[in-house]
Amino acid sequence: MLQTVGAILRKQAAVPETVTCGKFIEQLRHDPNQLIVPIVNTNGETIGLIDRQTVLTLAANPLHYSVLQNRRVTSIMDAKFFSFDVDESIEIAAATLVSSGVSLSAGGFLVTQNGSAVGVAANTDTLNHLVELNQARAKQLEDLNNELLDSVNYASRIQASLLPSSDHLSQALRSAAVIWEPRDIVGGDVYWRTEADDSGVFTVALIDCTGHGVPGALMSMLVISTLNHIFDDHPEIGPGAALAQLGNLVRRALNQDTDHSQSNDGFDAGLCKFDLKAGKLFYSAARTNCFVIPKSREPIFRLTGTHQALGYAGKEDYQALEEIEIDLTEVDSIVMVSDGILDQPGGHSRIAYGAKRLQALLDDAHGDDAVTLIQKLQTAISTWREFEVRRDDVSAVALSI
Amino acid sequence: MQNLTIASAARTPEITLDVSSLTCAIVGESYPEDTLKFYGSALPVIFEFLETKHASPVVFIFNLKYFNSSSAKIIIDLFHALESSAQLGNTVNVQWHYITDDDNMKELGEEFSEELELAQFALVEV
Repeated sequence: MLQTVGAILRKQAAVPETVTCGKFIEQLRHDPNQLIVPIVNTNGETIGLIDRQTVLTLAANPLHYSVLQNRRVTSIMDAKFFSFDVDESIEIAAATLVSSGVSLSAGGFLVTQNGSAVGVAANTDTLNHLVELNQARAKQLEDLNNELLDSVNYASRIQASLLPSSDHLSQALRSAAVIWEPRDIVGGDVYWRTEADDSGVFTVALIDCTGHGVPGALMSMLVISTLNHIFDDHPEIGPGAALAQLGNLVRRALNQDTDHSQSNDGFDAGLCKFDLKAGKLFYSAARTNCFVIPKSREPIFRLTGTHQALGYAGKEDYQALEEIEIDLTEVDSIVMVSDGILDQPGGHSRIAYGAKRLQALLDDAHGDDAVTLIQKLQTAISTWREFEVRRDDVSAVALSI
Repeated sequence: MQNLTIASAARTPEITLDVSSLTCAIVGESYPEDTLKFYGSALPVIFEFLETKHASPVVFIFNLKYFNSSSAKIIIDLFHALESSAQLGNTVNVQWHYITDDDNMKELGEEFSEELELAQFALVEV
């Protein structure tokens, strides 16, 4: 695709400087292929170029023609002209011309090989070449983009298949609903849960891995398989201990506990352990908000977890995180959100959505079940974002008890 | 010690370090596709500046509208470096700017300030 000036070379014979304009114009009129004609002196050196269109326009005026016809061609040639080697790329030649203020709609340049003139090139040929090149490139980029999109869409099917189905998510609950909107088709936000055992014990998690897109999705695979591993070994594990273990195992899996670690990545996460028989909920979190909506018209309360993210490079093991115990008999619904919701700029002042606005929204939605809560949240966050670009993966998990 | 000027872009903040006024500022939004690549060249310069003993107070301004989690990690590292600088004997003034009503950004600043003991921290409503 990368072509050189040789591809648009016109082997135009030169005209001696002694020829008259009258004779030259006649020659041009007889041969429409003569777009650019070099003029040479008696030593055979090119001393100027003549552009067909310019000269024929001039000659179309009888007064001008009568004045010109007996003069030498040197009087109508352009003594200032560019020359490029046959092996020069057309793009570079075009860039040189354009940056010197030359329009590619007319005129041309001399083509040389080893320093000697071998012909000319018309700027219109250069322009046509650039248009074709541009089309070919656009096609190439489109193909490349489609290949990447196909690959990422495929990856998205894999990532989505890891997530609990809505039936699974709502098992043993009144209802459950989620927002799961990776910014770049795949992402670092994922949610997860275990099966309820005979006494109604199960754990639900919302995890926000560092990075969006492909890096985030890679991290999420590691986090989910590690969570599965932890809960397969210890189904009864509390959320605080589970999070610490998850942090330690992810850190080790990425060799982030060594001096030669290449990455420094981790995750934010919130874990809810339900014990339906005992009527208890235990919440532990690293930088993840959980909003608890009471059955009565009591105010909604917000659990933030620790400020520290997990899994990042370090040598000291994480210790079990604090667990908040909540009396489930008082709780109507809970909503866990990723920072993609809280941090999204928007609104009149282009500021973050923030916990206060979310709390107010949930306050107004008192008594709504998970499905309605999620619908309202989705509408609120899109309205807030309006024309702002989405900054992060967006996810939320709502569970009604 | 060298000055630093990195222009802002859609997803990356402006970073400036003015050695003569001992002022460093990070302004804008921070969610680069590759956070380490973006901050890779700036951090060593800033760390060197903070590890140096200065006769006058050092001012560090965070004026951010949005940042992602991996940028938060960088900010934590900067807060640790700011605290170390204060332990070295420098007077360190950290200013966390937030737009009026942006409780989220204010809250994030408060969380980060928990990393500081000797370094001074101020929330600045703008």
